[in-house]
Amino acid sequence: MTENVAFSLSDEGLDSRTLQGLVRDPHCGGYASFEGWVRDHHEGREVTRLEYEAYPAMCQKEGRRILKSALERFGVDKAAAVHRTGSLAIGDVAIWIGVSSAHRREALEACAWIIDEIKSTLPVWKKEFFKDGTSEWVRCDRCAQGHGHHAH
Amino acid sequence: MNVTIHYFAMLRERSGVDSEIVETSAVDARGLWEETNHRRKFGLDRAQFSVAVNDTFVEWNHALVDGDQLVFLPPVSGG
Repeated sequence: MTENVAFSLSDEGLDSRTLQGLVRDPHCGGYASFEGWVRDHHEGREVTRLEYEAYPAMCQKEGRRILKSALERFGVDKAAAVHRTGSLAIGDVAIWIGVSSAHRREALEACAWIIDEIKSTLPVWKKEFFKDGTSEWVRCDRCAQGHGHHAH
Repeated sequence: MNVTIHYFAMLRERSGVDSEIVETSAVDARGLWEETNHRRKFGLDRAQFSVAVNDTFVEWNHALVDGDQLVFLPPVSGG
């Protein structure tokens, strides 16, 4: 049986056109994707670059668990995600998610659900470097308290 | 018994090491956290963290055995 989920970490730039191949399927007419980009500000401070650090073994397990449960919940055909590690510049793609399905609605819903799950459970940590020369690990108290939806 | 603690992100920087083998008499993950938080002077609140043993998320009362690989995970911020 062909594997219908694919999760990986990458220390190199992500190209969504290439990554689409992970979920392409002649059976599927709907493709939804999400890209997270590095933005130049956080809580009013100017950000110059980011670093992502991952716990690789658990990312694999957790990433696959999330993608597999998306297939079950939404009945989509294929789901894939790639998360960057290492140093990223403003505008770089930090994460790519792709979902394919016979029809569009399920693909869109599954894609939105996957990014929410990844943000709340995937063991990846972001360090922001600010214009004033300081840097800090993003410490999200609301994540720790499980309050769910909010901007980072 | 000996267990290995792996550090990531904020804890890696605070401890100055990627991992360490420690001899402990802690019976569970909570005990090892208290011991480590004190020994390394982290001064951190356990409520902010979660814990994994041998690459699986566990509860803080998870019993430790010799050779376990532990990770204390800071609040995640990927995506």
